Amino acid sequence: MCSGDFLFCIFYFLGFLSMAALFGAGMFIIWNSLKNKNDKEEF
Amino acid sequence: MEDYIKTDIKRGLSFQEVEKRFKKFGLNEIPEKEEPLWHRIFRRFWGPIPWMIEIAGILSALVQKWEDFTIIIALLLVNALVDFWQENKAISALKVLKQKLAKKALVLRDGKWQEIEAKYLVPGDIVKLKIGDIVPADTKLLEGDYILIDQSALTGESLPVNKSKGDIVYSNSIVKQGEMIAVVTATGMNTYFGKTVKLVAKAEKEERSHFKEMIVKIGNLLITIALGLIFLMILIELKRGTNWIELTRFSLVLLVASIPVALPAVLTVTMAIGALHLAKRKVIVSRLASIEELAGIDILCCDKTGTLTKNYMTVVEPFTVKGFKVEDLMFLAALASKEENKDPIELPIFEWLKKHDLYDKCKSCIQKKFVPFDPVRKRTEAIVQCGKAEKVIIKGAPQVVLKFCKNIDKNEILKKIEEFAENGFRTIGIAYKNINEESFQFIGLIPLFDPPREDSKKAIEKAKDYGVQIKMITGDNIAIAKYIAKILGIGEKIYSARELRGESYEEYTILAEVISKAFLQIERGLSEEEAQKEAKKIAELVQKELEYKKLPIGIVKQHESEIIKTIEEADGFAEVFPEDKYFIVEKLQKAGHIVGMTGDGVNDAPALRKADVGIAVSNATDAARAAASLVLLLPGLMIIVQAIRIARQIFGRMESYTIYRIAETIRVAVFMVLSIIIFKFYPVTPIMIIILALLNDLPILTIAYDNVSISKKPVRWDLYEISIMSFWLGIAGVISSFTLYVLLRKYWSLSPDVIQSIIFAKLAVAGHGTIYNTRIKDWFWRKPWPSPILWIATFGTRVVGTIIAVYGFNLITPIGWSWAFFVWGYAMIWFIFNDLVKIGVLKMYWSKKVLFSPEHFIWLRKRLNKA
Repeated sequence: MCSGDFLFCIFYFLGFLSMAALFGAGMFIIWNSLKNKNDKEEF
Repeated sequence: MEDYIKTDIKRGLSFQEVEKRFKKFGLNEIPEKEEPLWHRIFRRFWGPIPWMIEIAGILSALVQKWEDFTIIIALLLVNALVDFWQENKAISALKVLKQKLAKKALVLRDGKWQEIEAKYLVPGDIVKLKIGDIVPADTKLLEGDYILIDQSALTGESLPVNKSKGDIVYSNSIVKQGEMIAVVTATGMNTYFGKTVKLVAKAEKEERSHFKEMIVKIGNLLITIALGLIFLMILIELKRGTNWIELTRFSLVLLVASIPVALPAVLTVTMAIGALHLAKRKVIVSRLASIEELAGIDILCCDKTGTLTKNYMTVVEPFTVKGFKVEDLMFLAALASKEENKDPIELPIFEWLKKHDLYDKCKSCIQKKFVPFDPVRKRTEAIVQCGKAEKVIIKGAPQVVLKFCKNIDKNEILKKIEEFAENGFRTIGIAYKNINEESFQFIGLIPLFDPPREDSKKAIEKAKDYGVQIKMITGDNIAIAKYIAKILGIGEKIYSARELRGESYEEYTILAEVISKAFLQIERGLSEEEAQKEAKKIAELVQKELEYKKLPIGIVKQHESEIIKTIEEADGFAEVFPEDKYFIVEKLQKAGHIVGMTGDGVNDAPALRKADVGIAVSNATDAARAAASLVLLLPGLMIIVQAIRIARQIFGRMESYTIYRIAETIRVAVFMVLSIIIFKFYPVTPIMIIILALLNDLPILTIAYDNVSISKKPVRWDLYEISIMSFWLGIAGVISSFTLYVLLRKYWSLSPDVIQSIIFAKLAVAGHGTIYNTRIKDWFWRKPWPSPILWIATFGTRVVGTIIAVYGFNLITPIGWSWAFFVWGYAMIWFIFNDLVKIGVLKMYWSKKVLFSPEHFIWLRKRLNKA
């Protein structure tokens, strides 16, 4: 758990969340791109 | 050599002989001097930027900071490797493109005409030279009447030269008219061109595109900013008595990190990879910088035939004059054609004959002489022998054919031509005479219809969606042009090119009417009413006469601005000669448009060269391909629209990277220098700057593959927009770094070495966040989402940067995971703030109210006046 003052802990948890969110977003992007790999383009 | 060129003109060389000669003479090409590998590798370590890194390395060794020394050398090597890899990619992309643009030659071998790559020609080969070809080797003309050769590129003669049997035609000259058979006398370096190639290379002027100019401007701007700041820092630090070795080391490293060394390479590679992508779509880019212009075109002048229509004619219902049957007409038309030429106008005639079982009848006659069609003469001519009778047959534009015929009611035929034209048919007229006769006998008209391609209408709609106006260009008459334009939804404003040339005959007909009336009244004593009636008839006759007469340019004076306005407003032009295309492009460019022009013939070459993007359509002549910056391998407009779309995508990548790089320079250089000047604190160590630079190298490589939004408007380098955006993003970054520094020092009272490591982690984590701010001109979460490879590269380097900060590895003071999480949270908050800044700047910029812009001051003054 966070062992600092309030300001530090806010950034600490946000950091933890953002790391997880970025990782999740990346996995989603990869999955989405693999899914669409064979899809035809707009034209 | 004399022995080598005594080849059988009917059979050409045998394959065995070709092989023998190929071994002796080699490829018919001018070998290019390739840069040796060792030189390419060594080049990476030589130059102002590598020197700075090398000096920093030497200085580190002098003060015995061996970790720094190792990392600096690693940066030198990684930079060299990345640069080498990028250059390799660009070179191989260009090689592929070049291969696809290889010149072809029509050669007779073992009795068969075949198309081969020109580099496989050997001396003694029999080749056919026809209109639009670039002569593939030095040749001696053997058979045929004459040929008109443009050898201006070789000898500087500005006018084309007539060449006939026995004359030598040099490699790389262009056939402007005619068709002849020739024997190859010299290939490769032995040709006249090969011998003078050094001179030619020297004479070639260096091409400066908007793109290069832009890079130079941005580079200079950044170098000036960085040098100015660092110079200031050195002055103040020397006054403070800082160790000069340390100061030099830090300054050099900071300079290396701030200057966008990789900018030109990244942008070139982005374009080269984009060009490969286009090549897969059958669009070959012959000049990389033209991708940028393709992204910016707002007017596309597009040939009707072959691009908007199928270029596949079908015979509709032929018309014959009294005394002739349709079979006679088609038979004579076939005799005035050459099937092997595969002319799209002639093929449907042969098809018609085959369909009606009359094809074999053609073999009963011998074609003794054939003059092919050319755009100036507008007809083919053949002398044929059928039994004992010898006939001359002409086939071509009906108005031209009619000129050769007498004793015929031209009005009836002209009416029929008009009728066909109103239906969108192209008409060819046929006439013949016995060899001894004076004038020709008109036989009839063959209406041909070239239907629009299925995808043309959709492509035109797409082009309009992308803000590109299509202007149809055709040599056909105005009625056909209007008919096709209507079907395709191009628009109704189709003008004759005559109007542009100032050849409008309206003034003449009015003048004819006035003069005739006066003449009839004075000379014949007619009453005013009678004279008016007669004068009208005369004026009508004059109008008809003038319709097919080429009038001298400039007779009808029109101001240039009026002409430009007409061209801008027009949806298309009919009765266009190739030289009119040049005129249209020139005027549109004067009005500030970026113009794309398609073409295929030898006479289109000047217009293709003049246009911002010259596009040689599929099956274009060598001359047109050489002049064009894009060569299409597939027909149709859709492929061009697709290419525009891809070009805008490439442009988007380049623009987002440029904004990112400038913003990063401001962030790093301004923050560090100001921190040293104001707080007397070095926010990061030289080794940290180098690790940051190293971590930056990987995402750079992936920019060329990112998904970016495609602009719905033509795009151009807007240096002002780029600078404003980078400036504000850079400033936001500087503020975030200073805030962090103040928090760490004043609020948490951390030691300087820990602050340095936390700032290092912040720069590593937040720096790559900026790419996500600049890659899209919308909120960061909107589509198109980043490509997986970009995400992997940026996330990977952020994680590596964080791990280095957490554990230190004896390079920096370790900060542990708690502070690492803190840094990620801090970077995330600022990333969202930066996106807000971006959207704000964009909105202000689009409404012309960005702070510090000239428009902003005008806007502000107006508001103040109102208040």
